[in-house]
Amino acid sequence: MKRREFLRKSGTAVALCTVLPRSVFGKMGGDNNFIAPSDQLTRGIIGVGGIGRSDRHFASDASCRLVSVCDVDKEHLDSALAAAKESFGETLKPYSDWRDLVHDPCVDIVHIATPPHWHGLMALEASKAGKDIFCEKPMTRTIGEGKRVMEAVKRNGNIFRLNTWFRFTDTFYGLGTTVKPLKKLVSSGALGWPLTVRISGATGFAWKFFWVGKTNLVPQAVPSCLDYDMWLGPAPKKPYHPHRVHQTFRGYWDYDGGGLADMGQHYIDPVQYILGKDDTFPVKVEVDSPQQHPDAVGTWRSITYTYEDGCKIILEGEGFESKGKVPYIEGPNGKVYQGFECTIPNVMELINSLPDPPARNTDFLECVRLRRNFALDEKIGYHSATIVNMGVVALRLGRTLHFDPATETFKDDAAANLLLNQPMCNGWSMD
Amino acid sequence: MKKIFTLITISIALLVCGSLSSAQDSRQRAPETIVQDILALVPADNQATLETELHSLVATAPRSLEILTSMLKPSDSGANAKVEYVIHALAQYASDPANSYAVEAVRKCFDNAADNSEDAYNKAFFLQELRLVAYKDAPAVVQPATSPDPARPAYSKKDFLKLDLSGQRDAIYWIGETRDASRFDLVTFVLGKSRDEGLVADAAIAASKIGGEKAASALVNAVTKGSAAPAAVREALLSFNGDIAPAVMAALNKAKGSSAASLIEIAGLRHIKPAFEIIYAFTGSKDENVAAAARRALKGVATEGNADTMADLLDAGTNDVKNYQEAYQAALNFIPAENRFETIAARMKNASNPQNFFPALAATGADEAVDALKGELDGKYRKEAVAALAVIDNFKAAEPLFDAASADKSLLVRYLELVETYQDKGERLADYEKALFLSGDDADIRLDALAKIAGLETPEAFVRVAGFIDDAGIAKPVADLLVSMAPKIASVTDYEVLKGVIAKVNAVNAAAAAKGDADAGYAVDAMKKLLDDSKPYVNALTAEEAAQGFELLFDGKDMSKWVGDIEGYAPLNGTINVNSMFGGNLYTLKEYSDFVFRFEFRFLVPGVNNGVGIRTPYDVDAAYFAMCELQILDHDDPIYADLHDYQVHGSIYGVVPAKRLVHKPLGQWSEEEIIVKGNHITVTVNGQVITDADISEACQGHNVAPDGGEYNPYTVDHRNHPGMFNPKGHVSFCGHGQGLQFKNVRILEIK
Repeated sequence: MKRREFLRKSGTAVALCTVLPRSVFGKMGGDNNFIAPSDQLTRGIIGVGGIGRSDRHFASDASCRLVSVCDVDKEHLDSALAAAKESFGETLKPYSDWRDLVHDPCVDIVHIATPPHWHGLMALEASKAGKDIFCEKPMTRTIGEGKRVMEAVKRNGNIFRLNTWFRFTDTFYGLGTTVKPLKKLVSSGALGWPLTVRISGATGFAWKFFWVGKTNLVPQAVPSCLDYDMWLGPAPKKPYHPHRVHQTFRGYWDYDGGGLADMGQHYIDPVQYILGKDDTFPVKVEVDSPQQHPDAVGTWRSITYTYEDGCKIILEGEGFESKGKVPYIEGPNGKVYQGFECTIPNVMELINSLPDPPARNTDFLECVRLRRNFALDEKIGYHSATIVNMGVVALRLGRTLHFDPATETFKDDAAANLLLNQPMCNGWSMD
Repeated sequence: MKKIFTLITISIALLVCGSLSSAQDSRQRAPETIVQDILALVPADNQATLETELHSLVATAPRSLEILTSMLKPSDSGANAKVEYVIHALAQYASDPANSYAVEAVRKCFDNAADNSEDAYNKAFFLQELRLVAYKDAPAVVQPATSPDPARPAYSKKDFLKLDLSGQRDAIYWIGETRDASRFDLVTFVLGKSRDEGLVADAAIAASKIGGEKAASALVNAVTKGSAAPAAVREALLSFNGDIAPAVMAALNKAKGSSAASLIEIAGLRHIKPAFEIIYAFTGSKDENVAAAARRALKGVATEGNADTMADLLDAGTNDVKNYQEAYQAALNFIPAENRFETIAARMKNASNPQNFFPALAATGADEAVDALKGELDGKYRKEAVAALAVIDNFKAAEPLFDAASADKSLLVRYLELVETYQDKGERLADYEKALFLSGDDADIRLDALAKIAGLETPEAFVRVAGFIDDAGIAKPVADLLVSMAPKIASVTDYEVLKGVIAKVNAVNAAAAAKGDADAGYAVDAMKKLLDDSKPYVNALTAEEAAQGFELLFDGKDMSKWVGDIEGYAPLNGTINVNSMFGGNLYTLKEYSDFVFRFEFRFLVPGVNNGVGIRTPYDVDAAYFAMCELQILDHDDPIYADLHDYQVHGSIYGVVPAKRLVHKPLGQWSEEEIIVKGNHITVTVNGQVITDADISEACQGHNVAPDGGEYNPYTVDHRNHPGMFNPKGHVSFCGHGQGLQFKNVRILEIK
């Protein structure tokens, strides 16, 4: 095991990481014509039709300049170029083929903001090109793609950030606080063990069931501004319909997996952190749902993950929430409800008396400059994305699945294991 | 003609298959029928319900599967969903290890279908589904290129010492990670000897994971003797996997100074109750650090037997009262809840510092405690009494808190929480409004009150909250409240009202989305979809019905063909919306004898109860004084666990039980048809006949007891049904309670 990997596991990485200049790492990756642009970092965004155009991401400043954007929809691209000029006076380099952006020597950080069916391919290519990677959730569409990205990033020494953030900042939906006090409470053992976490409308989390797909789509003409073949990329070729692309793509298994796949990592990654499960996986996933269509994502009633030690994560679908007063987290010795209401008397005082969890590196740009691992790196991201994708596989097969955390495969279910790695189409491949 | 053709097809299929058993299933259905039957079931609400049908499909392969796959129309027809559902269900079924018998047949079928498909997209679809069952030929699972090395470090202590620091940390880490108790000597060694903070921290974590007596002692030792990583050692003990009480007790008996303070704290946080006496003794320590730690830890270890000691300290008015109050309450938690108030009240009598007992009173949550604290409001300790009322968990504290809130608005926050626990929604709204009024210019409290109002989830509350969306500064949070409310009230709110509010909400969210709030963008989409789904329904006869002479009894707005409880059955968005506020029965204006009555209904809340009165006079109990009442009931709700079978949906109440159907999920429409002809009644829901009976035969002609008494041995409910043979009457909806809607109500008189 590499030292860096080891340190990350034991949670004491900060002080001991070696600081290397940017240029050293830039050259290690592969593109030999890289020139270190002093201290200023640069960034390119792939996909500027959704999250890539939000103010938080579509921005540029002295610490990190936005230099290029890529989109397969010409209208998105033109609008992004105009907006950049207007809001921060930058003339961006436009690309319609993301590979050109990834190999652009002027780009340090590749920001992947496309639909999920592209994430694995793009992250792999960016990793090989020696770029650092800012990847939107969900990390990848399949478990196998996630594993390949994780290994490539480890091998090539890139800094990777999976973009969800509740494990280290912001009020965590129904909890009403950040996850830190809960993490402390759980670590103290005061709630007992094993724990059950319920991610449900009843505990303040919406599963966005309006992101379902449509069946019986009648093909329509591809708009002239859209390169549909390049939008599909590794996904199976299917006739164009506007509901398949732009925002509503979430309703199709080929590209995403509805609210579960799209919000799942947002909601589950912090749970993985709270339960201290960044190094392992659930061993069982059970689904209760209506029959699923092979193409269009449907709804579900519940998805239950169980870890080897008995900890459970229960997702409750919209309209199928538990009734009455529902705890967000529950152990043999206590419960925490929405708004951090807790059955343990004087819980805040107990929490204040407990040690803070180990500090983490939560400034991505600083991580890139100092070559430190980001607090939500490729390994953690792979783990929480895998939880989501296990649910997706179980849902698509409509049955309970058992997972072996050691081999990272499903037990005794050949079809489920086939869905770990789904073949890429149209000549694309991650191998 | 068509019949003959089918027969020929079946005979050919029989010849081809060569055996009867493979061409028909146990219910003697032909393959065509089996395919039609399963197509009618999809998409199923539960995969399990398809199992029998899938088994029949496979049992009649290849014919049934050929029929199924040949039904796939060209991919651009937009008409394949049902067939796709079945084919995917088949792939799911055959790929399940429990059904391996089916693999061969399904594989062959998909393979052939892919070969024979001229449509490229359909071919791709078959290949995709084939992949799920053809796993022998599919590419192997990708193994990780680098797998972590799980080998245990087989070091002796000597070897261990030869490692550099990084190697030593690796070794200790893996001992913990693999719970390797056999290498525990290395962990103890490091904990006792190492001066490196990181290494000691790793050892502490390893000890905590391994657990057991030895590990507990080693960690406690590291506390008493000091270590290079005291914080990590403390955390390791707090999250220790096992019982640390014996080790901590043994050490506490000898401990002094800062290590005593640490152990006391750990004993308190881990609730090591036998440590009470020794910790209590430490509160007298001359070392103020130790004494303070002991006072703080008391609440963690106090039990029933220590309550009096704590009460004495409270009444003595010692400094650091808060710790003793908490310890007192912790001790009281060990006596039955119903005795707590009495116990405290007894102690408070003649107490010199009664106010110190207020928090304990509040913790009981008892009605008597509210009264007692209210009694103190006019006394010397008003401030303390208000503070206690603000934490008591009893809605009766709401009123005194509201009175006190005119001087201190922050009390409204708690007031609102208490109001939320009222049973009655109307009372809640009235009291929320009081807080809203008193909130003045405090935006936080106003929002808090609005959030509570939103929690009522009624159309009235929705409109009330929407009234605040133009308030500067709180537009976005108000919009968020409305977004979360909207799906819950949309089906019972006037469409135009909903539309008006959503327009405002979307304006607010669109502005937020433009500033980069992605969730706001999602919300706009969600509200548009909701509005789309909430459009008023169109009530209309089909062309066939119009030709047959059906009469539409409700056009979406006009109730002029009905009499009775018009207010309780009010038009809403093209439905007749049944509302609990009034209750009662709704009657057709006209009377009917033989007829076909069709309508659609849906349940919006669980447990709905209503019924259809047949040939009923006005204002009677239709179950007995009409020809009959046909149940409308959400019979699967847990509140109806003890239902008689003659009460389930579609039953002729008290006379003929219906076949128990499974209702569609809340919010989805069902079709019902009732045919009344002479004494014969047929009820069909969603195409399934659930009641088909002659009511007279059902009670052998005895609608009333032959002996004129109240006990009728001939009806299933053993009651008299004097109205059973009414020659004609109105049709009625009877019952009360909200959460039910009707549409497309139409009738055809049979002359």
